[in-house]
Amino acid sequence: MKILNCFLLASLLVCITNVRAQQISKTARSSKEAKIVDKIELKENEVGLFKEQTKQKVEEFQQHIIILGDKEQPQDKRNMAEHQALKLFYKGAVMEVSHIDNKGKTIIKSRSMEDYLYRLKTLPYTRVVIDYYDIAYITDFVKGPDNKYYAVATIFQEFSGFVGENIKYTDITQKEIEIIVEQVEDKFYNEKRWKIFLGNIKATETKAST
Amino acid sequence: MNPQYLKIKNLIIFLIPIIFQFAQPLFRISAQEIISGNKKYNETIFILRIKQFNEFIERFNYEKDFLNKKIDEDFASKISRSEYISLLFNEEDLRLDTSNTNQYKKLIEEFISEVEDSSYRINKYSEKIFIELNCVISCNDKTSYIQLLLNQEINKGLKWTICAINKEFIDELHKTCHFTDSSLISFVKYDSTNYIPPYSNETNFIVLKKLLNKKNKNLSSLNSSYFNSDRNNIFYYLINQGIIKFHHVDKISYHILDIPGWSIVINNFIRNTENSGWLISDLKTIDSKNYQYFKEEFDIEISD
Repeated sequence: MKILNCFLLASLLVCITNVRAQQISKTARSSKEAKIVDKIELKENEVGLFKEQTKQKVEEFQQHIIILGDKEQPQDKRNMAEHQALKLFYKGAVMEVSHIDNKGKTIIKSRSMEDYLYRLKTLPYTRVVIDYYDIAYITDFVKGPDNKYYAVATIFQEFSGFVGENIKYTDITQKEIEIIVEQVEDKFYNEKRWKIFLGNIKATETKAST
Repeated sequence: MNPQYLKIKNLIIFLIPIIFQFAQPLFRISAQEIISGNKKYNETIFILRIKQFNEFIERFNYEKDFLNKKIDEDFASKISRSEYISLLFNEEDLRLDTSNTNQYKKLIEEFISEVEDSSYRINKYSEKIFIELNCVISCNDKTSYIQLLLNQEINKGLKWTICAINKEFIDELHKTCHFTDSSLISFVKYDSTNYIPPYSNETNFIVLKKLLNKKNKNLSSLNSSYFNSDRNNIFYYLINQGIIKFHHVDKISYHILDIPGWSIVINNFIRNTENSGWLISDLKTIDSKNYQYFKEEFDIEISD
């Protein structure tokens, strides 16, 4: 009897697993959609490489921000971080920051990346602590009409501004970072290479206090 | 709180330890930092929040789990597709009260059941995904609002295109901007270098400010190939004349008409809860040949 029960239970589990598996496969793409995907999305092996490089670029940007915001670092080092951070971006990139005010209204301000980084460097705090989480989400890479590939990565940032030992301002910001992959001419090797740039950034303050 | 949501809430609580089991290598905390309970709570929110519209579609289609990994049998054995779709609705919708006769709740149940039974999915490059933008502009230095309707097109690549502009807009302009229709001369030559790149929706269409404030540029290349309206050209003309200045997008709403017989509206709910980000704010049954809202607001008809 015990053996029969075990057999029935095992059969039931197999059935459930099959139903679940069917449920997953039933939501597969239609052939029309698959053709579109083939036309405009990168192949899986390329995606892996680009996602890894994107992660490195985003981390590099985060490291530069931590240094340029850190008032305990020498001024030269902070200026260098600002300069290096800008080099990661596509020309003309913009940072748009939004927050909800006390009346529930969304306030949006946008600045060029140069302005944004400069302001971050000159904030009126004696100490700034910026903490990041790794990339929380990244889209696939899709081809635009200009033959560049585009993706968007989401990261979260915690910011604390101190005056003396007291926290004067703290917030958590969600950032959507545009990623642009472009073929550039490598004059040294006389060949074309894919290069990853950061583009426009949308920043949303989800939790703030002063 | 409605029982359906309570069930899902319990499911999330059950899932949190599982999420963290997978999440450990994903999240990095600086060495000197002690992980507080608050921090863990924030991480849970970051994982569960639907951070991008693209993520919404992948969850709806039952393709990716909370950690952006392909849904496998293990995940499917814990959360069914219908339970997963339930998490995509705005839980704070006042229509979701405890009443058993609640019509909206019944509609949601009917929708989820139909989607699961028919294995419906949203094609993320569908031309039936529309975006309504509420934009802040200034007209003769006076702040005003304009609604644009966009959808996606694929030609040599993917791009967003402008389908229509709110039909009340021109009437309002006549009152405030003082221009005559005869001044709307044909000023355009096609300029293919003007386009709205893919995924601009995920960064609040920041690019529009740069594109629309370019003077002496042909902006009609931003138009949709299928829905072309004179009002769009009037809008571009006024921008080129410096009468209108585009500032930014204030609010984005998605209208998905890709599921036969249904319209789904999605908005961004910015709040510090597990149920936040891009969520379904409205669901309606529709005549697939006519989406009344677009007819009323933008004077365009959607056909199969």
